[in-house]
Amino acid sequence: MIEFTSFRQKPETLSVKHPEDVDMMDLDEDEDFLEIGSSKITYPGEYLTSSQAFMRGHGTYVDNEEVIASVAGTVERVNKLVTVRAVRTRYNPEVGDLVVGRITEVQPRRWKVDANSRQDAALMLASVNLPGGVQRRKLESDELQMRTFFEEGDLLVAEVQAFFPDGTMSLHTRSLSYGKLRNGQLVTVPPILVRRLKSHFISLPCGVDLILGLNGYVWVSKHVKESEREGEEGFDAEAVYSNQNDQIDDSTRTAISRVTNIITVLASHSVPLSDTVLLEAYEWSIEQETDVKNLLQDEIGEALVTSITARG
Amino acid sequence: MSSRIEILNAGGYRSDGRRQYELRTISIDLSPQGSGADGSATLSHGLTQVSVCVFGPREAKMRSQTYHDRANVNVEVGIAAFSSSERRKRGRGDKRILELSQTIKATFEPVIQTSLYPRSQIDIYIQVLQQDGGLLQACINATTLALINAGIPLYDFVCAVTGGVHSTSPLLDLTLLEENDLPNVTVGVMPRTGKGRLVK
Repeated sequence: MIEFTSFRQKPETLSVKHPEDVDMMDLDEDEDFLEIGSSKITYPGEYLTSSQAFMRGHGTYVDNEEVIASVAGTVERVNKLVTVRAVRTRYNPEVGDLVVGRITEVQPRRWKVDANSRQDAALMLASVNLPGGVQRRKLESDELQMRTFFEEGDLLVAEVQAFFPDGTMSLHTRSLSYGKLRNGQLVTVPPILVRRLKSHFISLPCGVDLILGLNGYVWVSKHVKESEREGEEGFDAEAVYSNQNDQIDDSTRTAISRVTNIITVLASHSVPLSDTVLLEAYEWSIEQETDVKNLLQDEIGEALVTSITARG
Repeated sequence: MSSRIEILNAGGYRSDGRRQYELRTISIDLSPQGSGADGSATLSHGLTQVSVCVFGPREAKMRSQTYHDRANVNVEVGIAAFSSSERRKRGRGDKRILELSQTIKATFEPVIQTSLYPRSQIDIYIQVLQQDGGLLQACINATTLALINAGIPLYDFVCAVTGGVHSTSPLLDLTLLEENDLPNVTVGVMPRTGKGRLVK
């Protein structure tokens, strides 16, 4: 039974700090979360600090010269900026992020892309490569055949190029490693589990390629041979916008499914994804000789996660 | 006001053994409900149980429903046919359900920091699983929790409870039996400022 107690009042003992006090790092115990490296969980409506001594960041608002949290999460402080990072939230795009998305709409000179963000992203016709890598201005004829490049429902990998004044993000695929996705399977995980890595294109030795989109969309696909990569002689520039899957043999299909299930299990246990974690998990599942479909069972999933966290 | 059941007996106990100001057992489940919602919460006040899923902020389904300076909050309530003692199917256009969802929308629109998400939409889907009085309070409390779970910025919590008066003695958190017999009011407050958000 939850007892009914009166709401906690704002502590009266909390004195308003003057900036010079803070510079001396003389923080009393109620505000020890403001020290670097400490973590404090907060909730919407909780008083954090005075707005005279600190600046409000994301996840906070100012009312009556007080900085107040607006989301539930951990309080972070950088110099005089106080922010709250929410426990769970949608993807917050930043310029240069690699995202995996799905086309939702074809509009004049642009595509709308669902990228798990607060609004659909825009992919301008001007920011895609033409098949064959021809460099020229996009003509009216290109505008008329936009559906031959991307159609509704197509998956693609792109980079965040810029933001429009209203906050929608604009994507670009002007690199041969970006573009339409095929030969694989999509998994979605909470975006917070994908950290910024040196490279978001990962090749696992089991013949599986991975694209970890920062928006929480992960693409698991058949390995592309080194000689058929972009810029190499085996690279087929005309096939960039192809809708046809290659021939995928049974062992690759099994490997793709295994990696997909491993990602699902790790995500459900809130394990951040990285190439080493995935590789260890894959090796563990091979060692244990578990069937791909059994990976999703609770007890096997838990055993997998404990063995990974014990090693890491 | 004539009822066979005694609302408050001589010893000061109510029909389910509670005292005047005692609330029913509250249980909260914030685990994800497998539908890919951004936030969800299942809350029960005694035998009243509601489950709320929050999606968004996301791209609006209908462009006519967007605002250029803030997010649109969309509330949909569904009442399960098996939720009350007599089986009754209510359609989505039912007046009572529309009123309930309008009340919840009016309660939360000023509390959510909608100006941070222009042209987006926040969908709140409420499913009533069991009804035993205090439906609105359960819906509001569960929606607050689901919104926090989804990481949507709020100015404050909204906490709601139903109150009623039996002759001269006030009662809190009415059951269906009490709700049918007593004049009652649901009050929603924001605990930080102590401001009322709703009186119904």
